[in-house]
Amino acid sequence: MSEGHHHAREKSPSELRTMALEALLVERGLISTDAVDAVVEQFQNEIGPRRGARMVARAWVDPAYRERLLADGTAAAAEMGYGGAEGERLVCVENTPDTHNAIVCTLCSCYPWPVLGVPPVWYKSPPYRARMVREPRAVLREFGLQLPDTTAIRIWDSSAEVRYIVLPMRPDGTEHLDEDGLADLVTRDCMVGVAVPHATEGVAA
Amino acid sequence: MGGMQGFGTVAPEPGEPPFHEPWEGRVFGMSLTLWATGGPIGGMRPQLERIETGRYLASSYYERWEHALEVMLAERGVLAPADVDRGVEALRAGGWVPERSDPAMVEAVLADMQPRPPARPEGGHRFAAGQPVRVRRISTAVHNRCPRYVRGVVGVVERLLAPDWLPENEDLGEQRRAPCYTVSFAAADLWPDDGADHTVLVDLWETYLEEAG
Repeated sequence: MSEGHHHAREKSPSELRTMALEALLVERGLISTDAVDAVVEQFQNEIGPRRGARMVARAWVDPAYRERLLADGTAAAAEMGYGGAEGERLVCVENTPDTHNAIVCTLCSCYPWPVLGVPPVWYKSPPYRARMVREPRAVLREFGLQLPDTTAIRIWDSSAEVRYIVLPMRPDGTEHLDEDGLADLVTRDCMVGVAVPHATEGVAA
Repeated sequence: MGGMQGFGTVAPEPGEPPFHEPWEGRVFGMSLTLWATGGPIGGMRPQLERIETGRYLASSYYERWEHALEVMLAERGVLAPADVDRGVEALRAGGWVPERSDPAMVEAVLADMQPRPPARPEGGHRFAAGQPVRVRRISTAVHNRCPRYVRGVVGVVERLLAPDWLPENEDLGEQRRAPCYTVSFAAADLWPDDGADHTVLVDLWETYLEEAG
């Protein structure tokens, strides 16, 4: 851990208690600093929404993979090399012209880590957790997603051990894109269900 | 928190990093390391729900994790809160976190982020897909995973899920699996006066359900 130069800025109580905890656990041999480094490095650089986006893009170009993804999300993720904690029971729910899906955890902040990484603050926040099950159309409008009144909305509250990911619809005007180009269109928010992909988008959130 | 009012609007942060401060990553990393190596902590969720409500709402996600870690380690006799207090004083006096390298531990945490062989016990479900069920009005103080907003409400079994560990038993120190279900609720049944038309799908253990009607 790079704690060698921590001058100037006042440390918060949580930061200090975290450092004290780490020192105690290291002294007791219960953790190593390089193991903690490895977790942080993985979640900063490797395990994030780009993984889920690759799965979505593959499902768009490969009907057989789409079938496997919808039948068993865990196995379809494992095929791509993704799995582990918080992804052992992965279920993929598919958007259609008639139905829009979105995910929430009202009890805490359950989230499919291996395919989306750690959740953003808003996903863990009381407003999202409280309102997404009760007034999803209003929440989606705040995210800039205006769905027709005729679109059925299905909100998945991951209150037990299943973790969900949304398979969005492939946007029109993307026929020329390959799998990587398609994955670029699929943001984290599209896979949570608070956004839909657009042909012009180019940056994964 | 499902359905509660008065929390304001959702505030997304463009370009949000996985961890806002290095210490958040350390809390997360310590927890995953302890889980991956069978260290002296339990599940995070029961601990987080046990945090006193005022403190819970006033804390950030990783502040709650840090607090829960301390509580779990204290309960298992690994350290006392006073040990952490003394550690904080030592840091204020110029102390630092010692480095320790352990390749086997690194390997263990990385292995924990790999796909696992599926462990999916089958069967034993009392209810069938398409069957109406009512959520019991659970009032036990023991940790459970039955959202308050569905208690007493009738829904329809959407799909059967593999039996899973009962959260109640995690709290009581025993382990037992029970069948799980995804149950579909009409918003009109959850909040009759809202005029909403969406569907909420909630995953529930069989012990939370009874036959409807």
